[in-house]
Amino acid sequence: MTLEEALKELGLERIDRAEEVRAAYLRLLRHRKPEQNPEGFRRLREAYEFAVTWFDQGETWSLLERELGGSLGGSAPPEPEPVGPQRFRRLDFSALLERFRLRLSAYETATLSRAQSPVHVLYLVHRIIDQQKGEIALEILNTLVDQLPPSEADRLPVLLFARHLLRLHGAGHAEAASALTRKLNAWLEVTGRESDLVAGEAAAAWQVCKELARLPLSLRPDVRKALVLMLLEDEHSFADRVLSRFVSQHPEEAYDLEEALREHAPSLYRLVNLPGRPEAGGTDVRAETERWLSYVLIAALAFLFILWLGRRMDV
Amino acid sequence: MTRPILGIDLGTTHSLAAVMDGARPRVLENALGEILTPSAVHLDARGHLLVGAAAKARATKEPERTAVGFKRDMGTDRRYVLGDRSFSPVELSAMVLKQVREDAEAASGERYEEAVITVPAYFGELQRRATKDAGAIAGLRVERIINEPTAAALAYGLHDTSRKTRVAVLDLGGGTFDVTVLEIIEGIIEIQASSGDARLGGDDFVSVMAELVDERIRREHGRSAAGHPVGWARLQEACEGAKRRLSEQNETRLALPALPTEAGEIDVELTLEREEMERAFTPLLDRIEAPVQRALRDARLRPTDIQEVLLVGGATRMPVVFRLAAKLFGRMPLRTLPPDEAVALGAAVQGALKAGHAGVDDLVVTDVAPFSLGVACSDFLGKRRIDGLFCPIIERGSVIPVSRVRRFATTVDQQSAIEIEVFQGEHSHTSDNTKLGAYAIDDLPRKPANEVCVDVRFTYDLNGLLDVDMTVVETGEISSFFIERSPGSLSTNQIERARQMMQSLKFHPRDALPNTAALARAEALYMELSGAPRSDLGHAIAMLSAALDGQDQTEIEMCRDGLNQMVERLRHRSH
Ligand SMILES: Nc1ncnc2c1ncn2[C@@H]1O[C@H](COP(=O)(O)OP(=O)(O)OP(=O)(O)O)[C@@H](O)[C@H]1O
Ligand SMILES: [Mg+2]
Repeated sequence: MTLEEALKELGLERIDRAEEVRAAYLRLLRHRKPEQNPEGFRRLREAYEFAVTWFDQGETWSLLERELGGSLGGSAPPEPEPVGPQRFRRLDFSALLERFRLRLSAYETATLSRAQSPVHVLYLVHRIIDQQKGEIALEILNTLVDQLPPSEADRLPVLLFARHLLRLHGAGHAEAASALTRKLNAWLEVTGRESDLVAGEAAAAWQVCKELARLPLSLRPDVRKALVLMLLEDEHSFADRVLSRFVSQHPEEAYDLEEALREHAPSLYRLVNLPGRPEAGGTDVRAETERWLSYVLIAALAFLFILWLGRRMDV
Repeated sequence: MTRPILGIDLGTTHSLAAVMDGARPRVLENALGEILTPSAVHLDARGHLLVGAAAKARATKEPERTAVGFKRDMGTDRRYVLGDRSFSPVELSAMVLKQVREDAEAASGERYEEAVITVPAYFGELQRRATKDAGAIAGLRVERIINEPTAAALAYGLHDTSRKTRVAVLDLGGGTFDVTVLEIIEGIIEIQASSGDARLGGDDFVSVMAELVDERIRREHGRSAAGHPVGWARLQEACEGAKRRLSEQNETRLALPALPTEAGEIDVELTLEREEMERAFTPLLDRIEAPVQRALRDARLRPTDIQEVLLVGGATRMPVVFRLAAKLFGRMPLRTLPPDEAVALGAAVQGALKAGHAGVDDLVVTDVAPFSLGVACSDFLGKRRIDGLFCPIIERGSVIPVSRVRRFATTVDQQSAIEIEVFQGEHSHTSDNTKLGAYAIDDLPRKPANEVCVDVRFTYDLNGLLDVDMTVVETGEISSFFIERSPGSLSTNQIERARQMMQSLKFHPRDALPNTAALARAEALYMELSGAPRSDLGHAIAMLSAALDGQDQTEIEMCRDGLNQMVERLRHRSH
């Protein structure tokens, strides 16, 4: 269904407010009751849902663009006029569309072929990762970096990009996500405005991306996923469970991870709590004390038991 | 004129029927002049079937010959043994439906061939099929199964069509709990989300009470009734009564003289306090909250967006349930409709809508798919392939009738066949969902993986029929199949056989039912009494039995009325 078809079905020419769509739907519903005219009702409902989603998404996009625009530069946008799509070169995804023709839905194809702003593309990528089509998402992100001239760096919301990279790490695409991180890093260096573009919340997310890209690829996927979840969703309890199981089952690997984090990933290192490798030959004072305490306790219990036995025998 | 359609609420504990009377629905009385027919079946020693109050009353004396609560087992292959025979939940439901239908025909003087039957919103596809099958065995055409809370909403929406409001309906019946969120806009009733717990109802509160009382008996007498079928049935019955009394008063007495236990009979007498019970109910009450949250989430609403909270189902009479509902939504719940009748009334309205009845012309209802429907698929996590994933096509909460399409690709090179396995459920792995059917396409063009695609279209109609169309994108070749009968549901032959089985069974004659029920109820009460009231009751029972032998109609009626009055009086007095 296209927007034109949906509007026609609803008897509307254009949509200015979301309530208009609902009003038109409710008005027509009385003449197309599901009981009497199921086919007519189905079309009406589809048009209604299409129009509502279309409208909502338009809203979300402009909101996103506004919000992320703020966190990109830090300062107010230099130009007073709103950012119009015509000013920029169009993004061209046709090769990619051809390649994945069959695996993209009609909606995804339509959005990608009309995409003018990186924000639109990144928004779509979110959906695509959700549908577990990670390899397509990676290709789209790669194409985006290839196509966006560094002179238009302002248009790229680094925060959103970084969050996608994190999700791809968690979804088992660590290798490709790491490669893409390095590529984006080089691109940001070329712009010469890295500190300007990557500020505030984006700085933290981007820092973590770079750190994850530096970790060895041999890192277990579930541990990687736990780290990502902790960062993205604040899922500390789940991550803690995974990590503590990891530590107890594979202590050697855990020591390696701790070292790798300490060396390459200072901000991740601060987040997780992993035991360090014990010094060879050294003794752990606390464990030693506990052991002695337990000996004393057992001895005391045995003594009491013998006393009690003795009294019973007497009686 | 079109034939009238009967609306039936086939409940876990009670069933009843309603019809449209002009523009208003009205409930119908049964042979005993009562509105609720207990969903109980009893097979007596002579092989006669009893359905309803009489059967329910026999449950305490002969639990091994009585079936109750079978609605919870619809769609499973559990069998209920009654004396020397065994029946499936579908057959037992069919017996209740047959009784309800005959009573309705007697009360209204109409013949009903078609019915709308209600089921809990959380019933899956298999349980809905089983309910339709039960209707077919009872000789009713059941094209439409509707959700109980939707029915309650219909009855509610009908009662004032000029308003605009957002309502949450909470239905806590004997065996199931349902929540539905809907919007009413001047006669348009838009169901926005439903959710529920298929195993939470008033009966569970009784079980908790019975456990608690048995625990106390064990402490006091050192014996337990749990091991003795009759003892346990009597204990449950007594707890059911006590639970209802505790809805009105703060404490109640429970007396069970000569209660059989695994080690001899004991006399039990104790007091139960409402507060103590409510504490014991906490784990059950906690289970009410999750479905409410889920329904609100599905409808994208906050509790404060709800303007009216409507309580239906007998168990919402418990003050603690009322308080919980008030707390969850931050407003006082309403009991505008009679809680036991709302669902049946709504089923009658739905029947009128389906028949295109003029009385409901300005009413429109849209309902949602109660569960997700989809297919099994595979996915790649990095390079690893994972099979058996559930890929929904029609998501739970989609407005029905609905048609949705999704595209799938081959996963290996030169793949020539693809199997479309259809599942119902909400779990991410198909192994946790219910399989409804399968279809294979085996002449795909051979190409590298990912290059051949199939569009799968699901079309789901108001009658719950699922139509599956598959188009091979390359060739445009279309195949389609219908999922009307799912595995586990009965074939036409099986339904015919069950019908014949029912006909061969002797149903207790309908006009003798009032007498049988009066006797059965009196005998059940007799066990709970002692002293003078007991001998009075025994005397009245003997009088009715003698009158029945004499066959004098006026005398029989006199004795029966006397007995019924005495039972009523003693029931109240004994507590
Ligand atoms: N006054 C009361 N106080 C407490 N509980 C009550 C009262 N009256 C009825 N109930 C309970 O209500 C339940 C029956 O309610 P209802 O008739 O609505 O259920 P149903 O329709 O048979 O079951 P379902 O809808 O789950 O299939 C029983 O568990 C009964 O104990
Ligand atoms: Mg009910």
